Order: sequence, then structure tokens, then C-alpha cells
Amino acid sequence: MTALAVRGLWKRFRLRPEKATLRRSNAEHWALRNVDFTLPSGGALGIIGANGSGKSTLLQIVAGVLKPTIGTVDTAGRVVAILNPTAGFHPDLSGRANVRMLATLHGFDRKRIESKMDAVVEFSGLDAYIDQPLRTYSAGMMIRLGFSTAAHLEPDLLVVDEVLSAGDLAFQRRSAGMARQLRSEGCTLLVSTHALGDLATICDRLMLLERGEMRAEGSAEEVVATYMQRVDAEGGAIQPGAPLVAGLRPTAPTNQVRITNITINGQPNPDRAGTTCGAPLEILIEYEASEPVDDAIFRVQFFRNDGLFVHGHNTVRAGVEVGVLEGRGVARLHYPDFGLLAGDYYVSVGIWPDEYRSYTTGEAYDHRPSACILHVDAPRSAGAGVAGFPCSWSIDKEPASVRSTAVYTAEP
Amino acid sequence: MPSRARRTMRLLRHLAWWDLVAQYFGSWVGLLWNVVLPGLVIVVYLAVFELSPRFRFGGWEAVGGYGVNLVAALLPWLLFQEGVSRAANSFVDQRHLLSQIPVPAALFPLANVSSSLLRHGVGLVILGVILMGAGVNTGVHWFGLLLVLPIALLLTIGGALVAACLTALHRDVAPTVGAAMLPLFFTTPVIYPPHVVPEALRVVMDLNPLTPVVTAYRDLLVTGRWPLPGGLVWSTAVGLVTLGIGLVLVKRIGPELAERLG
Repeated sequence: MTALAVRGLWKRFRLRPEKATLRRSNAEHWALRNVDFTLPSGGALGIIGANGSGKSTLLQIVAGVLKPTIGTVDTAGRVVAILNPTAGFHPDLSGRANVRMLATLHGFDRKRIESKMDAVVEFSGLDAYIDQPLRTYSAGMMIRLGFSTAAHLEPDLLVVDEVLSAGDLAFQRRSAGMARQLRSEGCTLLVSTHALGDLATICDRLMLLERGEMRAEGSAEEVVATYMQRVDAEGGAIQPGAPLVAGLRPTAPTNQVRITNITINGQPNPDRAGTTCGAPLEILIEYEASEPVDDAIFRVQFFRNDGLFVHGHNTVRAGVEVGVLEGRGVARLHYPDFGLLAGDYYVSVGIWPDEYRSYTTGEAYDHRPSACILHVDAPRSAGAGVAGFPCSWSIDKEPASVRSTAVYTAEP
Repeated sequence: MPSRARRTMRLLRHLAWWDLVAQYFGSWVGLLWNVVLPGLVIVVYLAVFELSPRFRFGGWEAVGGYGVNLVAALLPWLLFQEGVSRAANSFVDQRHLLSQIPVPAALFPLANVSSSLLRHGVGLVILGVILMGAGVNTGVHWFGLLLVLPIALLLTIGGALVAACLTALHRDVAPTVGAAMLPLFFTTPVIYPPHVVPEALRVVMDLNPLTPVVTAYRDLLVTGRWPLPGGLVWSTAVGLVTLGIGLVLVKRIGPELAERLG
């Protein structure tokens, strides 16, 4: 049974002129262009794409708050949508009154609303604040209440725009769990988020929107790969020397100890270097101390292009006694089985006076925040996500006639 | 009643209730402000104008003092003025909801009018009690409100829908509506009897569809006579035309509200 059928959907917005005028503007923007898909009952489709690709417009049309310019959207059953963090709540009413209002607007009578109130409040984790006016809630609290309310309104189709990846980590996990539970109960999900990892755990299909057009639809793996390729092709690929999104402050080197050369897998001072998941990786940090420096630490970090700090190590963690640095020398970091999965990563290299304090103040002896871009290839067998680990699968069948075994080892 | 209409009526009831609640949510008096404020207006006007013999209302045929004549006409004016002015911003104020849930758009201005109607009802009850206590009893004429109140409501709903829709199109409309209320108030015979208006200006007052309504309220509640039907027919006609325009605008603009206000 089809829960959602979107047929030949186009959506045009008329752009407002900069100054208010009585004349109708002729400037227009086509937010959706010929979007066409169906979603079976109990299915889950994730929509991904860059900002302005039409994700929210599509979800708003499915939710019924926007009308298509061309095309049709057919839904079966109760459609419940969370399209913005405030979930349509009234700022002056209490959390409880807002739950009642939202439920009433979705056709619930008072008796049914009250029968669900405890569950809504408990899932949101807001029992201490539920009778306070919404204007006193933080954005995260509103999102929790909105999602909790929507999830308990017995949706046949739940439309969620960017909310699953909001809220604190614990609530993200609970809401993802609730989304999976709703699916198991037959609810259909249409979800949009930039948190690609969340989508893969909830949705069995993804759709990539690009400037309002469907560019790919299929398994999460295929569509995310297409998306990443397109992001790279459009200049979203990380560039040598580009500032990191997060994690490191600008530093003012003291030059007591200078990094003179960084060699990655035998390649000196590379802008780009490459390796394979599971293969060895060696980083040499050559230094020169203009004066004796005691107890310096060497640190190497790896950041994904979205700023995620995926791995780091330093000589203190390794228990290496650096001692006094004088003159020239080389620090060597060796990974026998480098475990990051396919992608481009910034490599940050630095020499620091201590492990934490100088890191927070940005006072390094010398620091190269994006010294190199490390391109990692990985075989499909290495797994999905950020890191790959040697592992093996085995399935014991009853009766024990056949034993199926598959092994992924670090050796490529 | 079909289930869709039943659901719409239930939504309207709830939205009107929330409109009443939200205005004073968190205050100590809370919902009771909806009773206290109309009551206060009536009591203060009556106290000021009835206790002073210098205020006289109208000529030889006038019944009651200035205070009761003023309050009797003020009640339908406030219904119209409050209903239309608040409704003018109803779509803008509820844009967070309109961009979240597909709700019949007309319900929001209608909810504003409904809560104004409830306060109007409170005012009528308070005035009725005071009048009876003062020995002013127009008896059966109060039942005339069954005819006149719907006309006042028709004008209010029509004005509310038009103002709400036009404000969604152009934000300048809501403050314009607020500004227009003052001249409209003075062209409506609320604070003066109609016969004191100079002949040259009477056409303006006679074209005002609220004139027959406030005059009828005064006739029914204070003077104790049946209103003239001619003026009320004019008010009804204007009310129906306004309501028609309002409904057309809601049908045209309603589906685009989330887009226009987003």
C-alpha cells in the first residue's frame, strides 16, 4: 500500500522585492522541479541535499502547508509534521497546553489527548517544566516536546525536517529509537537532515535533491556516495591550508621549536598524501629548537572536512619521554594499520608546551593546523562510517551443516 | 453535522478558548480578566457619567442617563473594533502554526472574533444586571438582540476576514485598520445621539453600517423600543458583502499563507 505518492511536483516561489510595493513581483524561484516518487506504507525515505536544494519545501508540501505549483501529492492517513523547531507552539501557553493544542489541531479529542499526555511528557523528559510557558523553554526543549508530541499523535506518515539531529545527544538517540519503533508499528517516515549518519540508521532509502531536482534515489550507501562526489565536485572538497571548521584555535608560534619538515609515508611536506584503510601510515615531524625546551609534546590530529575530530594522538598519551629538545631532531608516529575509512582528512601537526592548557589558549611552539590533506581509500569490506577495524563475521546455522565465515583483516 | 464540519467547529472552539487563555496566561487573575476588564469599563463609565447630573444624553425622547446610553452603544462598537483589530494580525501572529499544520485559515480571525464575542456577552450580562438593579427594565426588547447581535457579528466577521487577508498581503493594512478605527468611532453615534449631527455630515454617519447597529442596541437595551428596520437592512447588506469579500480572499489567499508569511 502506498503511503505517499508525489507526482510531477514543481514549486515556484515569487521573490519579494527588497522594498515593499503594491505591484506583484515577476522574480521567481523554482524550488522543486519535477520531483516524483512514491513511498510504501511503513517505509522510510531520507531526503538529503545542500541548503536551498528544496528539502524543506518538499516536506512542507507533503505536510500540506504549502501548495504545489504543478503536480500532486497524495497521502494516506494522518500526516503529522515537525517542520521547524518551535513545532507551531504558542509561546505564551504552557508546554501542556501546547501539547493539547497540537493534538486538537490533529483531530484528537480531549479524552484521547489526556490519555497520551503522560507518555508525551515522559518521552520529552520535560516533566519538571511542562506547565511553564513555552517562551521559557530553550530551543532544545521545544524540539524535544515537539518531537515527543508528534510521535505520540499516532501518525501514519511522520514528516520530520532537521529535528532528529537537534537536541542533546541522549535525545537524538531516543528520537532515532522512537522513529524506528514507529516504523515497526507501520508508520511511514519522511525525514530530512544534514546528519547523514542518522538517516542511515532510520531510512532504508535516500533521495538526493539538488537545486530542486532529484539527482539520485536508492540505498543510503549509493546516494550518500553520490552526494559526497557532487559536494567535492562543486568545491566542497577540503583544500590545503583551509581553516578547520572546529577544534583548533589560531596559534601564535613561539618559534622556540620549529617544525621544519613533515613527511607522510615518505613524501616530504606534501599538500596531499594518500593511504588505504588498514595499510601502515607513518608521519615524520622534523624540528629545530633555537633554545633548549623541556617537556614539549608532539601532537597529530585528523579532522574530517566537516570539522569532526576523528582521531588524534600525542607523545604524552603514548607515554613517550620527550625530554629536552635541542638543535634538530625527528619525531616519528607510526600506525601499523591506519583505521580511518574512505575520505579526505586534514592532518594537523604541532609541538606544544603541555597537553591541555596551551591547547586551549592556542600557545604552541609550532603548529600546522591543516598541514596536509590525507586521502584514504577503503575497500567496501572495511565497513561504513568513519573508522574500520579488523573483524570477522561467522554464522552458525542449526543444524550445523554449514558454517559461513567472512573475515575483514587490516591487510588490504 | 458532517464530521469535517464538526471537526472545524471543535477547532474553532479550541482556538477561541486558547485566544482567551493566551492573552492573560501566567497572570494572577488569568482567564477572569475577560470578565474583569469589560466589567471595569462598564462600571467606570456608568459611575462617571451617571453620577454626574451635568451629563445628559439626547433630547426629549432620551431615556436613561448619558452613562447607560454610552455603554449600550459601546458594547457593539467594542465587539466590532476589538474583533476586527485583533483579527487583522491573526494570520501574522499565527504564522508559526500556519507553517506547521494545515489548518483552515479562516479559523484564526474567527477565533479572535469568538473571544471578542464572549467578552461582549459578559458585558451584556453585566450591563443587564446593573440596569435591572437601577430599575431600567426594557423587558422583552432585550430579545431584539437575537436579531441585532447577528448583524453586528456579520459586520465583525466580514471585517475581520478582510483585514486578516489584506494584512497577509501587505503588512501595512493592520496599522491602517487600527488608525481607521478612530475616525470610524467618531462617525458612529456611540458617544453622541444621532440627532445632534449636523445635516451636512449626517450622510457620513448614515452610510456607516455600524450606525444602525449601535442605535438598535441603545433602543433595545435602554430606550425600550424596537429599532427601525431600514438601517439594519443596510447594515446586513454591507455585512454580507464584506463577508463575501472576506470569504473570497480567504479562499484565494488561505492556501498561500504559509508561503506568504514564512
